[in-house]
Amino acid sequence: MLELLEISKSFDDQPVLRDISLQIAEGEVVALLGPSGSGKTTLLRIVAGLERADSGALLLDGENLATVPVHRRGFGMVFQDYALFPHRTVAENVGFGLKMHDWEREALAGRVAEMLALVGMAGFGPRRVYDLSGGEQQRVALARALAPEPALLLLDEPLGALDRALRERLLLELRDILKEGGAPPRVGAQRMGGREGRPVTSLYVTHDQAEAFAIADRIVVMNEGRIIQDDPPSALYRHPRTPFVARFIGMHNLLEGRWAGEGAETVATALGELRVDRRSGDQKAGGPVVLLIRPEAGRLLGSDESAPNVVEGRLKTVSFRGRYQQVEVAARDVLLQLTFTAEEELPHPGEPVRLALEPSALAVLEG
Amino acid sequence: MNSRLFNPAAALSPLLAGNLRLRGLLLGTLLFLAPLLFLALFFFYPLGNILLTSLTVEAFSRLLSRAYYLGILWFTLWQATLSTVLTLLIGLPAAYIFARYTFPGKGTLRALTTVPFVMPTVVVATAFRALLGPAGPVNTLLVQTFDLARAPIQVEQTLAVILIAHVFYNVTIVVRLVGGFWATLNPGVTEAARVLGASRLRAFWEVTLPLLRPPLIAASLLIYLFTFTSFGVILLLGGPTFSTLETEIYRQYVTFLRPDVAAVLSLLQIVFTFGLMALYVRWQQRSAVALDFRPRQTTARRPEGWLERTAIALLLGGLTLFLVAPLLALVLRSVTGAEGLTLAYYQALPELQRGSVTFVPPLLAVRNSLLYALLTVVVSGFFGLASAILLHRRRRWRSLLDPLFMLPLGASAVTLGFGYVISYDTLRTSPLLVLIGHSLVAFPFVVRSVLPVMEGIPPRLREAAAVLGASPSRVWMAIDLPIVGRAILVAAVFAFTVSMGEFGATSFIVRPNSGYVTLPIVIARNLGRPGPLYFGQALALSTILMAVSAAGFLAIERVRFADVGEF
Repeated sequence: MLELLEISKSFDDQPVLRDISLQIAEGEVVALLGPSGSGKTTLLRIVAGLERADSGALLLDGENLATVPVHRRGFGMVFQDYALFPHRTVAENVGFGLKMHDWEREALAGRVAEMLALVGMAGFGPRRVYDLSGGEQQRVALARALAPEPALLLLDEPLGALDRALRERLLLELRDILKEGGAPPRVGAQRMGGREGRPVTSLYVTHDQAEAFAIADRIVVMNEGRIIQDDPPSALYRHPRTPFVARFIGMHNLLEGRWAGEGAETVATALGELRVDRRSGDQKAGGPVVLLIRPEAGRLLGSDESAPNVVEGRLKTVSFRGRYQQVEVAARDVLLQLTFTAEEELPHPGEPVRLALEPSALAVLEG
Repeated sequence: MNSRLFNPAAALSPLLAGNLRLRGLLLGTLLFLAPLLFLALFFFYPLGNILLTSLTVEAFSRLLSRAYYLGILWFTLWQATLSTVLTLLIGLPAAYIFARYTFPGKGTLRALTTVPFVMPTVVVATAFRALLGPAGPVNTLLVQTFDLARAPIQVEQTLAVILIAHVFYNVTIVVRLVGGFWATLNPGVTEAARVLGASRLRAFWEVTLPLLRPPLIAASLLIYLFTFTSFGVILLLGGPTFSTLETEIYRQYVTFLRPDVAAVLSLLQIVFTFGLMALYVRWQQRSAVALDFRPRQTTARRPEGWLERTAIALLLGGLTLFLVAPLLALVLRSVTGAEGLTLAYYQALPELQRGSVTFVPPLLAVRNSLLYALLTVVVSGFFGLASAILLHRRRRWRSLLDPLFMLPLGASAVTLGFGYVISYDTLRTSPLLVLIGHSLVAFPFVVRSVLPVMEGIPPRLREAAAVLGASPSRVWMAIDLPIVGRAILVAAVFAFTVSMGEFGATSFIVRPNSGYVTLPIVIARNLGRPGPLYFGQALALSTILMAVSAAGFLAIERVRFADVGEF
């Protein structure tokens, strides 16, 4: 288990990390999610040993890593631009870490072939790395980092340099490799490492929320050198802790409001009093809050249907996105951005619309 | 109706245009032939004459039978090797610091490392004699501090001072070539090796060093070439004890009156230098392409922690001291006499000394040098620009012409001067041959300053201007001229400084009693005479020459585009 205790770091008196504490359990994939400048890459580099923290401790299974130099930590790292050795072949790149650990030549060749097969690059060994495409380079970088069986795999925006379609595909492969310790690419393929089924403990830095949701067991949201929220993806999505987190994961409907009454789980907003499911914290009645309305909260109502949280407004725009429809509804002074399934029969833009907002899709944030 | 019948001008226009095109073609051909003719007359013909002169059985047998000459060749080779190794050892840490760290005053310091490179050899020789000579500041300080009876450092006419001067000259090549390449290497590559288990040393050995190989080899070859053909430093600092091929050519011709032996030695020199040049060009091209490019800003960082800061400060401080001290000593001692501060050496410059070797007042040499330099700008500028345009426009001839125009860079100045005196002896009484010699030495610098800039203008710029409504001539005015114009200015300053400092060729061409002597010649002659006034005047003249060269260098740094151009 990796433990970070109150790690702080400044560059030129500019604090980059402030008292970061974090635990990563064996086999867990943790994503560090945040905008650029949030300190996530610096944190990753401190864990790797490429930067030194100003204060705080880093423990691996209880052992302090402060005096352990980079090359003795036994971690793996996938760099944002891959940092493949341009003067070495694909096989020499993948075998570099093994060579550093004095592997026998034959065992090394075997492991290299195995790793290349794992990332779907079997037979690419003798190629030059700068002849490879971006996606291929990414695979080689992953194979190189995984080959020496690192105790911890660090990934710094590993898919950031790729186009969207390729990113989607590689993301799923990456997820499989990390969670299943690298399933054999073909059924019945012989593997020598004996690592099957052991997930790779990973710390994954990204600024892309979709990537973090897809790959992580836990998402740690960072901003301005601090951890803002640390939750599994589903919990993060349902209950972002602050407006910053909500906006960062793509939510738009944030309303200022007040608790409407003692005990009653309703919030007074510009849209009227809205009922919520969960009451976060124990703010006093009348205390200010921010209410999040998730985009899937809306449900079309017939004119005589009754439900909690009814909102009447006008449909402004409809944009068809394939799997769903993106809709803007103007209600009182509020512009709500909502999604509906592709099948939903929506009125035309400009027509009045009557909606119910599902209490389970509303969340109260810290103001 | 066919309107052409009614418009004689229109009817004639294809003919006229054809005529114009013909005239243009003629003019163009003349323009393109000019540099080729220039090179043929004043480069290939003299070199051919050397070849012919050397083809006597006697000279060859004399050369091969004497251990003396083999000794000279041997010394030439190993002093160049030693100089190269020392320069690399001192330059590499500096290259690393410049590539990977940012610190206050970095740009100024980088420019400072280049200052020695643009200094004429006579200036450097005088400067080191001023710094390390018996009455120099280093010895004076040591004598005063430890209460010694006599100067403890005796470096004049030793190998040590030759090597120090060579390192002083060439350290910037390592900083610029290797450091420049290093800065474009992705530091992530080294970090990746570290994470994969390589120690600092191992990561350097396995990753950084192999990646640095092209610039390292290119820099080594260039330093080797320069120290192999070093003339002024060895002649003026080494004295009669040390002889390389280059100084021996001079002695054989001037002192021993053996043009045939000088010719054989020149031939040897030509073979070596052209070989080195060819190798250098190949490696230089390879190091032009960094395999993993990154913008320079992100690869450099500020030093962290007191250990890193102290180490860097010490290294840079030492380097600065090494580069500045000789030049500072030169200036200081030029205004210091037996009784403290004085301008006596400068005041004596306009006067003709009794028994002077130059037969002209020293100040006349300053005027001569300035005139030569201005004319060199015009002559080499014309031929250089014509060549650059030729290379740019006629791509098919490129592979043939490019090396042809580069060749003068590989020929040593002494060889050139020697070729001139055996080919154009009658011209030696006029200043023309000196001007031609200077122009030929400056010629490749002009081509190399202008051509890469011409080539480097992205076609997109011209396209963008055209799409925005600029006619072809406006495009040329708005895009090409301002960009190439600056390169031409750089080339002019290069030609000017090269001419001001030229020593090797001029020392052959100019007759000792001529009124056309140049500044470096007078400095060298003064250095060779005993007496404080002669040395003092050498100091004063060197200071003037240094100031002119430094001003030229500053002008170049100011106008040129970062990193375009090859010097």
